Amino acid sequence: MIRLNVPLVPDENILNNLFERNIYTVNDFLQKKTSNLQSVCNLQCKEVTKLKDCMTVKCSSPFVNGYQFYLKRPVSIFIQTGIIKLDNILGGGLFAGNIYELCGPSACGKTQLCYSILLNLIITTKKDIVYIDTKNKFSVNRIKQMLKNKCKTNNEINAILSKIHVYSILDIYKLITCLHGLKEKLEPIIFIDSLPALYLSFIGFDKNDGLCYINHICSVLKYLCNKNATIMVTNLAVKTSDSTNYFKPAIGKYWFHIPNTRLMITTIINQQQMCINITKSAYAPLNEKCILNIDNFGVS
Amino acid sequence: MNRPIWTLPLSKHTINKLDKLGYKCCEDLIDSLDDPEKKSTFLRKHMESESEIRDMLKTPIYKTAAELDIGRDSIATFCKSIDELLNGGIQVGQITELSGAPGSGKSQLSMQLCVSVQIPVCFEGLQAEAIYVDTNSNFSELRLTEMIDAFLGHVSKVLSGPIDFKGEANSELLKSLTTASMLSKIHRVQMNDLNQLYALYTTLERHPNVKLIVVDSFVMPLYQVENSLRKNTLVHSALDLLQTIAREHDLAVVLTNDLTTAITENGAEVFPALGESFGHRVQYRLLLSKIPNQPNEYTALLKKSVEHGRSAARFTISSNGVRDLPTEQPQL
Repeated sequence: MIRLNVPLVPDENILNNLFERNIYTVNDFLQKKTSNLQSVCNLQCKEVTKLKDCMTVKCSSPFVNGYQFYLKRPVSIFIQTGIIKLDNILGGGLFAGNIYELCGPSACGKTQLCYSILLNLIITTKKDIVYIDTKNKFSVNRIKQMLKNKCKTNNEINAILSKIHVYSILDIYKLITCLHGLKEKLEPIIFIDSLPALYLSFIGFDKNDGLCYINHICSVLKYLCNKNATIMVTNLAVKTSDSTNYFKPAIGKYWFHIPNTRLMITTIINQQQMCINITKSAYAPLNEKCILNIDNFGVS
Repeated sequence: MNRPIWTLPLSKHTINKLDKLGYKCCEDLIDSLDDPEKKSTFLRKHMESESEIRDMLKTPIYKTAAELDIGRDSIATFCKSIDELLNGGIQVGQITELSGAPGSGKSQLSMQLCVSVQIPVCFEGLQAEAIYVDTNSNFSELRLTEMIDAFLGHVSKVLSGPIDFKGEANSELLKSLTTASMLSKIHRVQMNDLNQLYALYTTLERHPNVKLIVVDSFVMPLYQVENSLRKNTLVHSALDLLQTIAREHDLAVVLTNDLTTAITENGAEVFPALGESFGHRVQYRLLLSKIPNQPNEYTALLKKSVEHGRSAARFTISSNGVRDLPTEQPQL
């Protein structure tokens, strides 16, 4: 909802007149009768209609036909995660402009998988990576341990470490500010570990404000995706309320539809392994499974 | 894409007022604030919130991983195998959960940590203080005295040994180590409601040198809450608070948790209480248990850690405190 300003209406006087009548936004303007606006703006009926048309065109989404859209598509290729089994089930790797969700119960290896993918992405793409840490647990020690068999010299390790931009964020408002701040970044790769940690304390209040914030975060993430961002979000899996022992993603029904690809992670009991299952995807076949090992050098 | 004003942590009142004045998104508001001619009377009246709003909209600053590579302090216990399990001890700045059945050594380990956090700097300790949040009256000053005496005995043994811990100041400091002085550095507070944890802010102002907060037990106050949604709110706002304190004051938080039984298709299984969402928010999870048929032998199983895989350590609880098992195990 855009606030009226001078290029949208012809001059300052008209703008002030409109503001005095509590007409502040384009929406307010369009909803008022043309006859009323005529007297407020001191304009002809024709001019007001023209103004309304201009606003509608300027402030609404333009139509693009499928062919033009196809021609304009970004030439993006799969970015390989470097974990061969995972790349196989994902049909080649991560696709820019998509949101990936890593979902699993606590201590199943979500963060470990994030670290491994993150390091492989830095090595293959040489790009900076944004890592939003909401639990203040980012462990440089673990990253260094994982790099031990990938890098030989300390300089190499430092070069990789300086490409990881860690935002330590402990409340949901800061997360929104942070994501808005990333709008200018060119084709960013963003990891959010984890989203539910910021939301869980909202559950239980009468007005579920937390959901509004999560929904806004969803729209910002989608906006970033339109600008070709690659986003990885970790989410917690909680037990369903019936005693069937199945897991479902936390943070609500709306979020359920947001990720383009959902990777469900389950632990294999008493082993350093995890099982990954694609439960939602726009392009990869569903219910493909793979089993990954976690060791000192990361996930493989 | 613009940011709506309702995503700011402002009061509902201010948000409604701004909405009535036609301010729907932050970008418009900042535009008007920047332009003195456009400032309406309402905005002028609420000048005090202007700097607040600008602060809220400031993009957070990131640190590269290379900058974060400074190493964290940790609180060593008196048990080598547990220290090795946790990469040097309980990590400062993080939340560690100790869960276990009754009598598995949770409170013993917590009290031991209150002593360990006071190890002087010359012995590579933190030389700090501890807060013990006691919710189930497990705090025992007599047991602590025992542990402190054992620690002081150990110190005097080391000092009389061949290794010279030089420095006059240090020896002065060691002289000041008495049972009373060490006991006075453990601040115990009794609570029966997790909301009372907000009092920690004032306690921390008075005792800035605190490096350890123990909440023993974290679940006890929750048993009296019947509404499960309310329970959830309490748990997570307490965790929010502890997490913030842990980061701001750079201190370790230790929570103790009980076990609960979950009935599944495969029969009954024993889990730490409070569910997945609680487990998600702690950074380290240790499961303590007593080894059956072995007097005084316990295990600590590391269930969650970002730095280590699942592994276990064995320890014993003697009159001195939590210690390693004697190297030669007695045959039974």
